[in-house]
Amino acid sequence: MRPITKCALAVIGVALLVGAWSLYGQQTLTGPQILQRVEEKGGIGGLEGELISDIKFDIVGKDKKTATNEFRFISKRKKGEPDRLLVAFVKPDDVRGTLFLSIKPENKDADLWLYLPALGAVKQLVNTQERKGSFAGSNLSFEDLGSGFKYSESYTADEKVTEEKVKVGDKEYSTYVLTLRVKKEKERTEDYPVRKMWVEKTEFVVLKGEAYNKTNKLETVFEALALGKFENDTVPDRVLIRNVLDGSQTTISFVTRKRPAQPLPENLFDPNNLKNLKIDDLLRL
Amino acid sequence: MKRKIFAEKIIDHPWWVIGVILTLTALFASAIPRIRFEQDFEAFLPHDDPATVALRRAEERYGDQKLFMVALEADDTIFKPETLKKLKEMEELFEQIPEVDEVRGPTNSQVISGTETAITVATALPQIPETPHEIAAYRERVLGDRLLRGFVVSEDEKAAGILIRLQPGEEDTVGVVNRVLEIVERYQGPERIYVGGMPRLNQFIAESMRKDLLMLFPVMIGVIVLVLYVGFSSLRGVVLPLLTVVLSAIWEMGTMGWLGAPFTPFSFIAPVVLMAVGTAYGIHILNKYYEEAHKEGRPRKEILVETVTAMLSPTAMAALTTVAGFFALLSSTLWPQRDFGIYTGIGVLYAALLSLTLIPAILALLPVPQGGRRSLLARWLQGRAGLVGLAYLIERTTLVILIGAGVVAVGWAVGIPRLRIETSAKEFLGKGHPVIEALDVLERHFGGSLQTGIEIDLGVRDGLKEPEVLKKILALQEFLETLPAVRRTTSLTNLVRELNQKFHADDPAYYVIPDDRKLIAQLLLLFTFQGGSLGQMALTDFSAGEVLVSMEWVSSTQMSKLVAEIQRYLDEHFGPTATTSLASDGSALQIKAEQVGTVPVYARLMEQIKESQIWSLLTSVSASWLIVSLLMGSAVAGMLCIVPLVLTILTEFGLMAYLGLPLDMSTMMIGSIAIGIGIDYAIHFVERYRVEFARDEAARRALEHTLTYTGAGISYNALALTLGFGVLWLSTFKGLNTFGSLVALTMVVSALSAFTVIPAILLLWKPKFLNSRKLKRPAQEVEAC
Repeated sequence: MRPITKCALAVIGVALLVGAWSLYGQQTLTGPQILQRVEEKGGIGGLEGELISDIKFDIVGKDKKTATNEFRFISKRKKGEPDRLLVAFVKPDDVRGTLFLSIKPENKDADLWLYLPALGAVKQLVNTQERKGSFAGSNLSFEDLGSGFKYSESYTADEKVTEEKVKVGDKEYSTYVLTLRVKKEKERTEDYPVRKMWVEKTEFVVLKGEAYNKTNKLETVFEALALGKFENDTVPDRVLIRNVLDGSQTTISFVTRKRPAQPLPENLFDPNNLKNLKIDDLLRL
Repeated sequence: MKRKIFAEKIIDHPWWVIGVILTLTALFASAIPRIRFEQDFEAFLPHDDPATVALRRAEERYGDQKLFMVALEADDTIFKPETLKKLKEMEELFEQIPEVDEVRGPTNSQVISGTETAITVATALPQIPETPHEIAAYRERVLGDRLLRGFVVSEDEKAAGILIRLQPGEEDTVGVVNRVLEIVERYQGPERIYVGGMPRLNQFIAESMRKDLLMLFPVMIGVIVLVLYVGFSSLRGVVLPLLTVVLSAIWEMGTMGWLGAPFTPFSFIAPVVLMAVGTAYGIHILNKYYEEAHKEGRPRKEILVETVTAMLSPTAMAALTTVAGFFALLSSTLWPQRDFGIYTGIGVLYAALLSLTLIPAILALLPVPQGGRRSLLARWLQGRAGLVGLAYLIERTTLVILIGAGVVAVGWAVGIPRLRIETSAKEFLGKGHPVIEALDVLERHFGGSLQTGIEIDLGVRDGLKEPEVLKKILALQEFLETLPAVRRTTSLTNLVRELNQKFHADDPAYYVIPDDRKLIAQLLLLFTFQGGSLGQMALTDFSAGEVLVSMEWVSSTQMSKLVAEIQRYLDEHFGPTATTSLASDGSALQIKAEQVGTVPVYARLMEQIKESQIWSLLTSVSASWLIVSLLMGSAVAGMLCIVPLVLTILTEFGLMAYLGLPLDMSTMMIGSIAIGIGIDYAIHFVERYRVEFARDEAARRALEHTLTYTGAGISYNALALTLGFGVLWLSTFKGLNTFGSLVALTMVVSALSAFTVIPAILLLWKPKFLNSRKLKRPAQEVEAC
């Protein structure tokens, strides 16, 4: 056997072994493990560390009327500390400067505040029972935003997962299909007893999701419409959240994502300081 | 000759005729289960009617527009743990019905509360309160909220209401209501739970139609059996006409099934009406058969050929004039009436066809009856105490009859302008039903059992956030609340004012529309942020929204007045000539306001009924006059036959006006039915009189013979129809009870008019057509009448 042939066979053999190992490794991942990896990766506005994102919501109501909102999301997520998220309303003009602050300690409900510039007052949003309301009329609840899509607090993933191909744009991705079931203690407060997630196998990006309501009907569908790169990670650039029952939908576009040049000041996430924050200053961050 | 060939074919091949008819019956019967029930009154208007177009558009934009509510009524208070538990469980069960879009009740509604530092939009009752303190806190929370007090909990605390909104365009409302009723049934007692609103009313009407059909058919058969037995006193005299009408009703319903026509609260009685009307053909044919059979020594075939040959033309002509009366309903703008006219007309043709084929075919297989026994009724009618006596009386009182008829006609005509029109489903149903009781409960505790809406459309994004626009809407609401039937109104102004107050530490001084557009926008943002639903108050882009009006279920006359008053206000304040509102940026905003609910639909139905009534009567009378004139070859004869019809119609409408009975979608059909059936009496009478008069020009003898023979036939027919339509007294619907009584009365009046007024005119006037030689039918046929 010629050396070149031996070499080629060795490379193929190693490649096969690596492939087999990686296949084995993937097969051994369970549903809960995949969910954990997804949450480590972070969802919308949920990346670890300090992050500034400009996000646009294109909303189509069930009446087929459209509305567009633009926001600046400023988040700070660090292990062992509460997740902090400040949302500044940029457009439309009549709500420009409105601020929404969420501080969510781990395994607890988020504390929420709202600053209305027209009134010059900060109010705590006290709604301890259900936080499933629509965020700015979108198909997204502000609980989803505040929690960064941390489903593990309310759901348990089935151990067994299946695999499927999912197309995003022109490209096809291999995914795990996870089934999440609501935890007993959260049955009363969660609208969806069952959710399904299609998770990309290598980077654990959620490409698709389905939520089934209490009558076991598919109600909400989440789809990644475009993927992009941020710090070498694949992240969704554009996602669609659609209510299949009433036909309403929200397209969320991530216009920019960046790390702040300077560490974010702590008082940015202080409810008492909200009225001192100026939208133009926040946009300059 | 052709008639004879037709008769011989049937009599020579009876099994073929029976076989073909049975096969066709099986085919028609197979289509009956396809017939669906359509009970939504608003579906009865033309698809492109402005009121239905507006309603449909509102349903597409804002969801279902009909009030559907479950009301729980307690003797003392609903603020008890066990009652609240019931309410919460029912709300959860209603939410699980897939066709339900939204459920809002005393436990799951959102309550807005505000303090200096916080604002809360929370579920009213997340958990069942157990301690008196918890109950008191909940009571205070709910009764202190203007958006809930009087909407989901009554002011007196004795009743709670759960509002259910169905998915837009949901077709199986009957199914959904049935499921709601099943759930409610589990929680009945000691509290009384009612299900009310338009969907419940429609479900009740659909169920009642089914029950009525199942009940009216056997009763109608019983009535027909009775009339036939009185007339013929023989088994075949009862069975054959009965079989004919039953089969023609099956054929009629089969045709509806094949053509996709639904049963409506007005057309579902078409088969019952047909059974009453169609019996006449069988009666006349059997009458003639017995007449021929009683002539001694004639073979069976000869009797039958004679019968069919003689009866073919009169039956066909009588059927044609009746069909013309029913087909006149085609001029109606309301499709349920058109359907009723078409299918009853087709059914009449089937009844005539089956009478002329099936009856002779079966008789061809039976032995010739023996003996010449006349029934008791026939003997009485043809005696001196009956119609012969009447002829004597008419001859002596000609002028009195005519003057009397004229006075009576004027008397009725004077009353007709008082006749009111009614399109309300509640009125059609009548009092004493559980569903009407539920509506009363809704009106007693929740400010109305009917909901209508006004759409405010600015055509520009965020237009509803303008303070000036909201103030204008508020002024509209204040005007609406001054109207007698209106109990309350709700719109975005209620929410904005409530939020403004709550955001200002619940200070009632802030229950006003803020002057700052940005504040309004931000308050609304806050509300939606907290999970608040704007529902029908605004579209997603705030370019348009609805003002919802809760009102009592008043009569359609009152509804029509209300709609007109509202429209006047809208034209003045929102119409093209109204001043434009200023937007905050100084630009002009044109506000369009349109009534979009079910009330404008009812008002339109009323207008359509008025229009349809005039047209259908004119068409019926004209068609009848034309047909009679053609048949008799004389326009004057046509006019003469119309006289009893006009008298009958005047009597019917005049009586309704004096008794306060409304003209609704069922009673408005009476005119056409009266003409369709009543014209037969006049034709039979005038034609026979003409034949008798032509013999020797002796008016007295002609009248006596006409009354004795033709009069007896008309009497049987009128009796059958009077009793037949009287069956509708057993219907669940008040509208159909009235309809049945009035048609029965119509039959009596048209028969009496034919017996008295026509002979009085003929005796006094002796029109030229009596001497005309252009008889369209040979005397033999006319005698058959």
